[in-house]
Amino acid sequence: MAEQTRLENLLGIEDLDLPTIRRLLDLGKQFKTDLDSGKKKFDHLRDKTVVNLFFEPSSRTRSSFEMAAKRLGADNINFVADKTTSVAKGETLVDTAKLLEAMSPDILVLRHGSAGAPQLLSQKLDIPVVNAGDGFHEHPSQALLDALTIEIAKGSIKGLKVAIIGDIAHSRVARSNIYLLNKLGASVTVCGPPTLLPPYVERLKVTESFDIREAIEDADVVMMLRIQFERQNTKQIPSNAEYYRFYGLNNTTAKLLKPEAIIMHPGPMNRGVEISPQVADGVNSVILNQVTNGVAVRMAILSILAKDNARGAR
Amino acid sequence: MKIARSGFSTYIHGGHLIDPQYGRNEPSDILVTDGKIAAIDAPGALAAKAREVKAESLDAGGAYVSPGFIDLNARMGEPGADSKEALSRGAESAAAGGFTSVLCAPSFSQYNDNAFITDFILRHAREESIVRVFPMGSLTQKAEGEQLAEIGCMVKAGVLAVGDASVCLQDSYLMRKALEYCKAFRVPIFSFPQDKSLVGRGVMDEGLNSCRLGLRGIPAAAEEVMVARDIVLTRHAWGKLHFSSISTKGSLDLIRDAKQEGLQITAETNPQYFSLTSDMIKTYDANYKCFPPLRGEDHVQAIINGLSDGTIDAIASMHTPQSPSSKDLVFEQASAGMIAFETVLPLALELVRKENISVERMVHLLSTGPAKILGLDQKGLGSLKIGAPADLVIFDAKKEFVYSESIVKSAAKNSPFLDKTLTGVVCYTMVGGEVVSRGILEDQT
Repeated sequence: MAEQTRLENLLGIEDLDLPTIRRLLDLGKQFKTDLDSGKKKFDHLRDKTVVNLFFEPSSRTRSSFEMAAKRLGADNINFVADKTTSVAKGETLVDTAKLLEAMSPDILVLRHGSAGAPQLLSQKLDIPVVNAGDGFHEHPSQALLDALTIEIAKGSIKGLKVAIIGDIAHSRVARSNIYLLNKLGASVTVCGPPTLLPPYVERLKVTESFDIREAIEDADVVMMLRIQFERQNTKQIPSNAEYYRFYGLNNTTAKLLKPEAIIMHPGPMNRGVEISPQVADGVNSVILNQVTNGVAVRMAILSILAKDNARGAR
Repeated sequence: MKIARSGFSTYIHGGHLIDPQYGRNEPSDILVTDGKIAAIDAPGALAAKAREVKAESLDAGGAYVSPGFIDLNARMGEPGADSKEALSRGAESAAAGGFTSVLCAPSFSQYNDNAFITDFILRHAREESIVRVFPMGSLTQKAEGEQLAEIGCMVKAGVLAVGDASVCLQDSYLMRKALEYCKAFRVPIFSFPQDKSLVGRGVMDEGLNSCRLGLRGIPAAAEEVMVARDIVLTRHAWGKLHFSSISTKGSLDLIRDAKQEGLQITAETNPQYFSLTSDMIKTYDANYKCFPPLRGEDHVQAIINGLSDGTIDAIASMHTPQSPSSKDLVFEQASAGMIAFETVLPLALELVRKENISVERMVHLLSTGPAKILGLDQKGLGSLKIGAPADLVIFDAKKEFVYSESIVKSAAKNSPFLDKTLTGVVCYTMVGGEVVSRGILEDQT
């Protein structure tokens, strides 16, 4: 057997090799089976401390990482950079992270509004860094949980047609999924108004479409993305109503879906903007499964990082 | 500035003279007396004369001797930003890079919009700087782009060009009026062509790399739209315009056509735009962040062509010192710019080695071209002429060195070339007949 790559950090999907991806997904699947069977406590991270450092609002990612760390037996600290912390007093990212590192945690989970923040910290710190979303660069744990969800629903990702619909330009979820799905052998179409597709996206080995009907009609998986109001420069779409009519998975366009297609959404959803409530809660939706699988995948990420970076390994 | 010692002579021998203005490219000796070029002749021909006047001997050792470099685009931290780099340190760094004259651009939110500030900078430079400093006046008051600065008063006080440096005047009406107004004072406007709304919140070149890295892109169109506007306005007003920091292929095509038409337009680029591409940002290293941003390979090739075919008139350093606290940040938040005085020569020589340009063309781009843009050729700068101030540089085009932090003369260290091996180094920089620097390797020779 070829020697497996040691996972030093989880900064993004783009640089991960296939064996590492397989390792993460297979362990995630194992944890998922164990969790489904009712097991709640594991000891992979006993005596370890995981710090969540969050510079952006988050409910599911942060609680999911927290849940994963606690299920694995780790101590967990949540540092949410808001008005009550030193960040409000002008402390830089590097200084804040060094302050936390001085308390000897074992893994740092970072969510930051600027692309490249986890790369910066991985160069400055001696502990593994997990990217829990950086600007609109990458969100690797989301892509991994999406892949696990698809594998559970469809058996294998190879050969599947996946359509990612919406604000691709401002989406880290889209970028991580494009990389991961390509590596796992799916063919990916990205679809949205031209103003919300990033220039040069076609060179990431995806098909571009401006027509949701064309994008979803033969798709096995449809991923809807949230319109990122907080990240847009404005002026990119005329109105929510027009967006919903042409790019929303509304009750009319949903009729074009293949019966066995699954519908995903990384959340939080804007019901009535990118997806109709009936579709979001319908039989094809696996949106809540994504949340459940998120804990299992993050347990896999944390335990592999802890194992690969245990004293002596690093 | 050091004052030339009266009656003092220097005999520069063993060098290879390059002077594009007078078509010289041959081994020659130079006698400098009272701060001025006294004689230029074939090797050995001035030896007797040199002995007679008891000239100090300066052996160029086979290196090139050329007119001193003239920088059209540098941030000198004056006035008011000396925490980045004091004027005296900036001048040392410039001299070590072969620059004998520097146009000091308003920068770091500072401006030079009236004769009092111009006076202050000039006085300060006389006391503190070992190279000649020529202030650039702000084009608009407080560089806010709303009302013209007192351009006439500043020209009388000594500014040679006006412009809001790294702020582009967005108001087309005011740009038209500025071009008209400046004709009365025969001073060129330095335009930094960047359309603010197209730049938006962009931090790097818009391309595959910005798409991959999830960073907001700045399209080449942000520059080209403004280049096109300024060319049209220059034609309309028949004014005199210089473009700073040209970085895109489309800009070059527009400028090439405008020059063929006979408009009074000149252009400059900076070493990063012919040496680096946006591919280098892949680790989010903020030392590669600059504005305009590093572009792709096709733009870099177009810039090199522009340097060679005459579309670009000058290479300027765009020296921008930044402290670690403004670089050690996430890419989006980090300040733009790099220190550059000391790396211009080796990067320009790289083009000579690759035979993109000749060594004469390189000296033209670094000295003769910029002198003409500022009208300094009227004062004898940018060439080596009998009776002109002895501003010159002696450089070894083949010497390799590692640009390590310990040899950096600048007060700041924000260079992506740190620890890289570069080729080509200044041996001596002479301003007004006095050796003011022995280059960045002075301690090692």
